[in-house]
Amino acid sequence: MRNPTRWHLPHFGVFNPNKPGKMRLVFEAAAKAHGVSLNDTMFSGPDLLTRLVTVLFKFQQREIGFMGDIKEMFHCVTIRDKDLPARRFLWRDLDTSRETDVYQMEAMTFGSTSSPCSAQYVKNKNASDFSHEFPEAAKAIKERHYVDDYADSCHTENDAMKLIADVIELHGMGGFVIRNSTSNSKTVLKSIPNNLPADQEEDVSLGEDSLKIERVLGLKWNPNKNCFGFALNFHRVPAAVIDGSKIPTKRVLTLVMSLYDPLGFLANFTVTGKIILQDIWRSGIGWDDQLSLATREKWTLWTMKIMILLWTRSIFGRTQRQ
Amino acid sequence: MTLVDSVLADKIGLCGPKDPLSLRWTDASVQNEENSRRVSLTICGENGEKFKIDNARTVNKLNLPLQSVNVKKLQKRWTHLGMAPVSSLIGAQPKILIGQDNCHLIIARDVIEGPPNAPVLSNTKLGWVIHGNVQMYKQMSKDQPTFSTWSNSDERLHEMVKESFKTESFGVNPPKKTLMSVENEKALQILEKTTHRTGNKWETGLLWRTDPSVLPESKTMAIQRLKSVATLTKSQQRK
Repeated sequence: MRNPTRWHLPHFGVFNPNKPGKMRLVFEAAAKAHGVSLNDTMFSGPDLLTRLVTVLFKFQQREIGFMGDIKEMFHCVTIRDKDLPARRFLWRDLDTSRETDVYQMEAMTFGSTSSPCSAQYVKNKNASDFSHEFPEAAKAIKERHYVDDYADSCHTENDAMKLIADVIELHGMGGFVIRNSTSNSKTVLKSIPNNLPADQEEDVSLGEDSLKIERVLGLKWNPNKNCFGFALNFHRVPAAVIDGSKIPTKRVLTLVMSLYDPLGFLANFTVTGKIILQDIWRSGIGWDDQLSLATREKWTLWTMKIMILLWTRSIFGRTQRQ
Repeated sequence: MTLVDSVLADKIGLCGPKDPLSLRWTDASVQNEENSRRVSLTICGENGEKFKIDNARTVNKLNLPLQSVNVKKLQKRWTHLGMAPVSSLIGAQPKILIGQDNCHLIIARDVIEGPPNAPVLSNTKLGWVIHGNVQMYKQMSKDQPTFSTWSNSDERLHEMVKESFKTESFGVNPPKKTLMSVENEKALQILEKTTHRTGNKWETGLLWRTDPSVLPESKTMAIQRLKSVATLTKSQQRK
């Protein structure tokens, strides 16, 4: 009898500032004991993802755009019994007075080096299994999905409704549930059965008529106007940094880097921020030091511009057909 | 190396140890003969003399084109071909290719030549052989000693076009198989092996680098971490 490989994973909770009130439990597979971590013993596997930019482009290609995501994708896939002893964790329900219980995590977890590849593989395999029955949906799931996010577009509302229904059904056959569906077409949106509502955010950047905005692959998308918007992570940045009165240089780094723009809508603008950052770095001052007066002026000018220029239209201009 | 068709080898009862063989032909095409055997045989020439061939290799399908040679007809055209005994062949398929390791059997000991580009006779230890391109000679004009090649111009054009594409696509052919690191290949193999449908859910295995892995004791570390998280939570609550 071989001893089964046994491992205890430490865990902790993290909060996403974009999803307030929701704690995500992380099992830290990178934690080391005697110089070895569970991740050290695993392959990360090949990158099976479709490129993010590809998915975003395809989302913009046709008139009717729609998106959704798989509910707790990693938890949809179970790990085979043989491997479970390596996924133990201790739990005492926040009761420090008692002994800990030992559990085994049966689902895939965040933070495990092999989880992303395995999840993609299973998602694609499930789609391939039904590619005869649902050729279009299987192709969509394999090619227009980024991790758990599905974003796609069709020429007509009818096409979109059919595709969405098929994608939902196909995913369902693998235990994956699509939620947070949204679309720039109200007809399409209404056709989606049991649509679990998306966590909508107040629109900070497109404020004029207080529209709701959605997140598409990390970008902010206004389905009503069908344009992308940008918002800086202001909740992480103290006001003094923005107005320039008190600016440690590492805060500048945080702010410049927090502009997430994979399609480069704002490239002509963000480059100025990066140049400022480069100047700071060249000057050799420490990350905790305050900005020099000259740099502070440049910085304030840039943050002022950013406030004005917080959103931009889709460069693809998904125009209405005549 | 001498090659023998495996069907012929079986027929005449050639035995020998298995020794896989990889043959490289034109355009770097490689033919793998997993079941090739190393055999010895005796070959007999036209005049009844016997020779031993060692280290011949069997190949699964030699599959060389059928050949027909009407010696009588050729002799009418070229009288020099009547100077030595050569047999006619009808739809004969070569089953043995004698290699350079037995070149003493195939090199020419005597040569009988006719007019330019006419077939040539050569004498080997195994008998007389006709060489040359009979087809080519057919198209030769009687008055002018010029020749045209047998292949027609369309074919040449086709080849030229093919060649030009070949040059253009040099080095940029899509690989037949996606190239992947050994690690990634192993990971995919594990995924292929361990991923199963259980009802309408999926089950998969962890991507162990070595299976089974031997891991050090880790419970102490996990308990330590649990304690520190508890302490942290408490101190945050006090705030």
